[in-house]
Order: sequence, then C-alpha cells, then structure tokens
Amino acid sequence: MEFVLDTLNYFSVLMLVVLGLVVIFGLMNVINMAHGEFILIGAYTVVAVTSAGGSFWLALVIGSLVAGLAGLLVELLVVRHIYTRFIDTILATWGVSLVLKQTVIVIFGPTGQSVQNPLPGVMNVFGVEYPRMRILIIGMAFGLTVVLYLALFSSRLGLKLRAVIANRDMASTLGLNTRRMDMASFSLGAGLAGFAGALMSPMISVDPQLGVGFLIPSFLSILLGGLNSLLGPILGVGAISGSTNLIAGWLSQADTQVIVFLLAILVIRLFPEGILKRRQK
Amino acid sequence: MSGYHERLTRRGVLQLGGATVAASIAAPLIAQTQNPIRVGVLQPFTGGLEALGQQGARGAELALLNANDSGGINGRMFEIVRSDTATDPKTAVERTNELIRRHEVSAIIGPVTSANRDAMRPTIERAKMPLLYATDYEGGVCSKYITCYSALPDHWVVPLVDHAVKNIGNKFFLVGSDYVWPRQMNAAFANECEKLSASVVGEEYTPWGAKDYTATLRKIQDSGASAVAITIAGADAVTFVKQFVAAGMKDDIRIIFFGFSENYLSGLTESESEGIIAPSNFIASLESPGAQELNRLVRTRFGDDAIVSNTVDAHWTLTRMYIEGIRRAGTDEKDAVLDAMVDQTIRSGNGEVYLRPEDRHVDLNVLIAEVRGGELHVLKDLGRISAANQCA
Repeated sequence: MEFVLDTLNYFSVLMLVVLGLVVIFGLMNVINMAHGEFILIGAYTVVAVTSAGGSFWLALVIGSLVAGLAGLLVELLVVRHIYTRFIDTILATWGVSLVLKQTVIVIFGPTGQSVQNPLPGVMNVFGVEYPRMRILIIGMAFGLTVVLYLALFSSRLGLKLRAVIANRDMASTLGLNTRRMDMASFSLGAGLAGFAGALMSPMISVDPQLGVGFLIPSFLSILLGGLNSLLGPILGVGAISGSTNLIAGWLSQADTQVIVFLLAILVIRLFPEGILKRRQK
Repeated sequence: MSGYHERLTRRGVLQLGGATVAASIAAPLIAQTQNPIRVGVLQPFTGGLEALGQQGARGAELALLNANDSGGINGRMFEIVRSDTATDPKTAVERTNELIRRHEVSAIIGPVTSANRDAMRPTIERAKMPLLYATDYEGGVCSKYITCYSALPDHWVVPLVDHAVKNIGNKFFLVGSDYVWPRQMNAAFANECEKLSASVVGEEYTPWGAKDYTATLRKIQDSGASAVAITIAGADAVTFVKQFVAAGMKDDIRIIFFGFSENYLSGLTESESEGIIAPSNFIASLESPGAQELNRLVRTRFGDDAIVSNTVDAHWTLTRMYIEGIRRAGTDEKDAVLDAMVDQTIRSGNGEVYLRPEDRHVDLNVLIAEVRGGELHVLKDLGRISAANQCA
C-alpha cells in the first residue's frame, strides 16, 4: 500500500506539471522552456499573498491567474511571432525563462522563501499514515486531469481549440478566431503551471531555481507517452513515476534517475511517436 | 516611417556601443592614475547558489570597503571587480581568465563549490594568482596559490558525531547530493561512527534539483535511524526537510544538517526548522564582541535585514587576512603577499583564527548549533580545532 501511495504521489506531482505542458507543447507544438518559470510564478504568488495576510486557498487561485496572465503577456510579446518556427521557440522561451527568473530575484531576493503548510500532519488512508498535504495534491492532480480532459475533448471550446491546432487555415476559413484561440491556450497552459507551483509550494523549496528540476521529467513523460492527446502523457507520467519508485526501492535516487532516463531513451528509440502511437512504416 | 525607425535604432545602438567602449577604456585610465589594488570577487551571482554568492561577495566587499574607508592600505585603495560564475565550472574558468588577463587583478575571492574551484585550479596556478576560497569543503587542496578558510571534515564531522552519539542515538541515516563533498563527508561520518561503535543504517544520494524525496523518506523511516545526517546542497535540502517534516517523521528522527546556516531559515517555517542540529564556525546570534561587530558592520553597510551567516564571516575574515598580507609585504605583488599573509592570527566573527603556513588552511573555532524558535543557538562551543595537514 505504501508503494502504491508513494507512486501515486510522484505521479500526481509530475501530472500537475505535465498538464500545462500538454496544452502548450502537446497541442500547440511550442517547446516552452519557460514552463518551469510559470510554476515559479505560481509559487511566489503564494508567498506574496500569504505574507500579505491572505489564505493559502485564495493564493492558490491568484497564483494560477497571475501565471495565466504572465503566459498571456509572453504569448503576445514573444511566442506569437514564432509559432511557425518550431526550433526557435526553444531559444525564445529559454530567454523568457531567464527574464522571469531574474525578475523574481529582483523582487524577492535570491534566498528561499517559506510557505506555511496549510494541511500539516498525517491522516490514515487504507491503513497507512500519509501526509494530508500529499493527499490533497493527489486529489487535485486527478481532479484537474479529468477537468482538462473534459474541457478539451467534450466541450465546444475544446473542439474549436483542437480544430485550430489540427488545421489552422481551415478553422480560420470556418470563422474561428485563431489568434484568440492561441492566446487562450497558451494562457491556459501557463495558468495550469502556476496552479501546480502554487499547490506544491508548501512541500518544496520556494527559490528562484524551483522550476528547473521539473522540466526534464515532465518533457520526458510527454515524449514517452506521445503527443496530441491526454492519455499519452498520462501513460508517460505513469511510466516515469512507476519505474522511478520501483527502482528507488533498492537503489539510490541518483542512480534511479540515470536508469529511468536510459529506459526512457530506449523507449523513445523504439516508439519515436510515443507508446500510444503505432510505429510509422 | 519604418526606415526612419530603423536608422534611429542603428544609430542608437552605435551611440550606446561607442559610449560603452569609451567608458571601458576610460575606466581603467582613471583608475590607474590612483593606482588602486584590483581584487576580483568571483561568486555565483546567478545559476542556483546566488544566495551564497551574494553573502560571499558582501563579506569580501565589506572588508575591502572598510579598508578603503580607513584610508586604504599603504596609501592605496581597493577596486572591486565583481564577476559571476553562474554556479557553472566552465563559466568560472572563463571569468577567471577574464579577471587575470583583462582586469589584471591582484587576487580572486571565490568561488563557492568544489566543482568550480577544482575547475579553476590549473588556470589559477598557471597565472600564479592568489585564490581566496572561503567555503567549507571536503579537504585535500594543497597549493601555494589557494588559501582556504574552510571547515573540513575534521572540524565538523568528528565533533558532531561524538555529540550525536552521546546525545541523540547511535543509528544514522546519511543522505546527500550526488557529488564529491557529500560523499567525502559521509565517508568521514561512517569512519567516526565505527570508532564510537555507532552504526550507519543507510546511505543515499539524490540527484540535483530533486522535487520528490518520498522514496528516500520511506527508506529512512524503515531503517530505524535515530537521526538523519543531511549533506544535500542548496535549496534541495529545504525541499527535503519540508517533506521530512510533512511526513511526520521529525518527532522520532532528529535532523543533523551539514552546511546549515542563517540562509536556510527563511526557506523553512519555524516549526519545520525547529530542532535542526548543525556544526558551524559562526552564527549571527553569538554574543561575543567579534560577532556583534560583524553584525553591526554588515547591517550598517547592507541594511537591517541583510543576512549575517558563516559565509559572510568566512569571506570577511579571509579577505582581511589578505589585506593584512599586503600591509605586511608592503606591496600587492602576488608572491610577496602569498608569503606574508600566512602564519597570522586574526579575530573573526567567532574568536581568533590562525592561518597556517604549511597548507594554507585555517584553524577555526567550531560550534554545534541548534535551531530554536527560528534562530540558530549555540549548543556547544568546541573552541579552536586544528585539522590534519592537508599537504601531508
């Protein structure tokens, strides 16, 4: 049972980060190197709101909104000029990430900040004592995944959004405002990242480098599972978190990371389009 | 319209570039007329360890600026050249070359990590450039050009294991970042445990930037350890402690934290940091006159909320040792200062310390401190400890 919960826990942490990437990278095809910094913005918003006397739950909402707004600005100023230049998005968003990170240092200083745990203590889940905050993160991750799935694949808005991505010219001809769709999806992706950062802020060090460590495992999860749907990334996240926890059971975490990355490289070599897609002939 | 814009921008760029070139040519000219002693402050101002970099720089600059305020040394003023390693060994080497060739500094103060220091070493030795290193490390540097104000395993591990075995328990779980310092510290820790018939029940290394320590925490919980000894570097350690506390493990297992300082306090809540035990050479809450003076100097120069930590103290004291070296030698000529600065006793933020000539390391005063109410307090004052000769 502990193993299941531990795996679910890491699964949820990764899933929260990946959801925003699914929209920006998976659907919009922008390799967003600044994704970690939107997480950072979410976490630092919690620091600002709670130190101004606001509650953690209020900060959670504001954190997502602020990150979403930052995403909108980045889209308007930078990303909209480079949608057609896939590789350039890496360089541009990397630059954006540096700017955002240094802005945080200018405002909050280089030392770490702390966020009070809103749900301290442990609770009994299926006979295991588990931190309450962890349970919240797991619950939120699952809830948000379902909501995003429904929004993208069962709502009219989601249909329009996917239409723009599938065939921009055709969608435009049929009267869809593609610019507004781009802005909305990039902002949504950034907002999701901000939510992830805000939600996890009591459990991690809130410092300017916070976003960096999330980037590799989450990109890897998407590559592993395959793009263009939500099931692929879920599968990818499951594979990464499951194997990490399994191997970490008897190896050091540092060695585990090496092995998991090697396995991921192997899988991507065998299934270049992700596990969910059949191999191209 | 667009043509006009373009021309204006180009001209603007040219003007800006011209001004920069003029300024960079003019600056050394003005400086040379006053014949200052140029010192490179090479610290990680970005890239992950910026908190330590800022404090290291403040410590060094405090010493240099105060020397300037009292009329300089031998009638000459210090000029500070700040340079950023970006916490990256390759950048550190590039910046070192720049400080040596372009800025022609008389000494370099920095960097922070062993990885950066080791990468810079060949460049430093080739240029015969004095390097003043003021961060704790694993030991073993023996070079005429590198002077270390550093706590070694002899300073921190040996007395701490002794204290822990007497006061906490005799089963330890060691967890560190995956690089040289934690591995050497843990080797020393295990070695001491063996002498005192205590046992290491687990040893684990974690990757840089880890965000989830669940698997490691599970192992610690199952190991029956009485304390966990942390040598995780930087912010990752904060993440570890937060998750350790959230898992409800703090009541049964004590935290020993190597490298803990006032820096970490702002990243942890009071209940999370309560009870952490750490060896240190200086803590801000000391009541000795030396500590009070350092606190006052830092706050006057950098503001009331500036952090005063052992990083500030180490860089401040070592830089003063270098200044004293120049005074003794009567010149900033590198070899002369290197010879003149050793074999000196000077007051640090925590008592008198001695720079040994045989291996250019410092005999430091060591404290065992505990966090209580969000502040570090002295649990035990061990006095001055002389580590083994690093050149032997």
